[in-house]
Amino acid sequence: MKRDEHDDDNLFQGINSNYGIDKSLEDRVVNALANQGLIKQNHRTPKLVTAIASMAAVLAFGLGFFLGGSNPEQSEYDYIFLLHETSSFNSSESRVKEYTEWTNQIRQSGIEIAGEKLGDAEQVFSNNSSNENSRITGFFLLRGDAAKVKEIAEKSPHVKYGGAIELRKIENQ
Amino acid sequence: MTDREIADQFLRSKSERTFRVLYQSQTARLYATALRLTAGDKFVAEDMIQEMWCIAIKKLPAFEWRASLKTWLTSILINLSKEHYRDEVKKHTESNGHAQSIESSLEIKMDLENALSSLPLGYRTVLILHDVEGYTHEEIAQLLGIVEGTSKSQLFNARKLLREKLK
Repeated sequence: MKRDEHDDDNLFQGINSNYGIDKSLEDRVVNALANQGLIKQNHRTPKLVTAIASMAAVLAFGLGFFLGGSNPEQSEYDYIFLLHETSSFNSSESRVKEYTEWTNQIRQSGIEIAGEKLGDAEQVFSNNSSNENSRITGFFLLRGDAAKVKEIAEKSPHVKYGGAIELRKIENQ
Repeated sequence: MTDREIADQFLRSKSERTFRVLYQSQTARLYATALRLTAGDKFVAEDMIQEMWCIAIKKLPAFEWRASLKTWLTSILINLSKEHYRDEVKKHTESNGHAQSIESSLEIKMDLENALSSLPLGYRTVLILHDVEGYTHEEIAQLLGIVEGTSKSQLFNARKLLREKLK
């Protein structure tokens, strides 16, 4: 782009014009366009299948498995919360409603979230002795920037009732 | 790929994936412009970006590529900011019973970005397009539907006012 003369009067020379843009805005725009029938949204597998597939991919990566050959599709999510519970954590059915309301509030704020409760470990395959101090009882997958995701973790009912959340970034390639 | 190639691919497929490529190639700069046009109002700027893309995607099949995609999207954004400004003036007038400049009610802090926010919309728009975005007076005249001389005089007055505010 050519410039006009007399740019010496420009007070903005050297000023960085890039501002942080909320990542969730992209999804908002995509959803708005899809609602008006202006774009075809990507085919999405059911949330449970997607979540389990993503979880498996993350765990596989964490365990050092190498899936050679093809490039896996980029995950739809940026972060995973691994929910840890110790014996002192008092789980209760009455909290299901609280967890559901919590996830609904997150969705309403424009952050994508999916999650599942996990059963007890059926079998542990390891050469080392397992850590019995805590167990992973569930997970949430989220799409959003780091600051928001950390804020969500801090305010979660799981932390409030004595559980721990391990936050990990999903390494999108 | 050029903007046009991406846009053509999108028009053929209408796919979310291709739209996201288009979105990611354009939106960061446009969002910065929207923030400045709305005097730093993040929520209004985000709404404007969403509306801009909805309008652009509807009109994309008829876009003739006489200007760059960025210039065309900027012109949509400017029109939306004018509409928003008119709505705000109307609301302000109705609530106060008389017209009062919105800019005059803004808290003026003496740094560059805040001083820019306090300029009248017309001055602010020309100043942003020329001094921040790098458009020429000829391009600004086309974008805003004014003559080049008006663009130049508005820039002169805008810079003068900005310097006074920064004193």
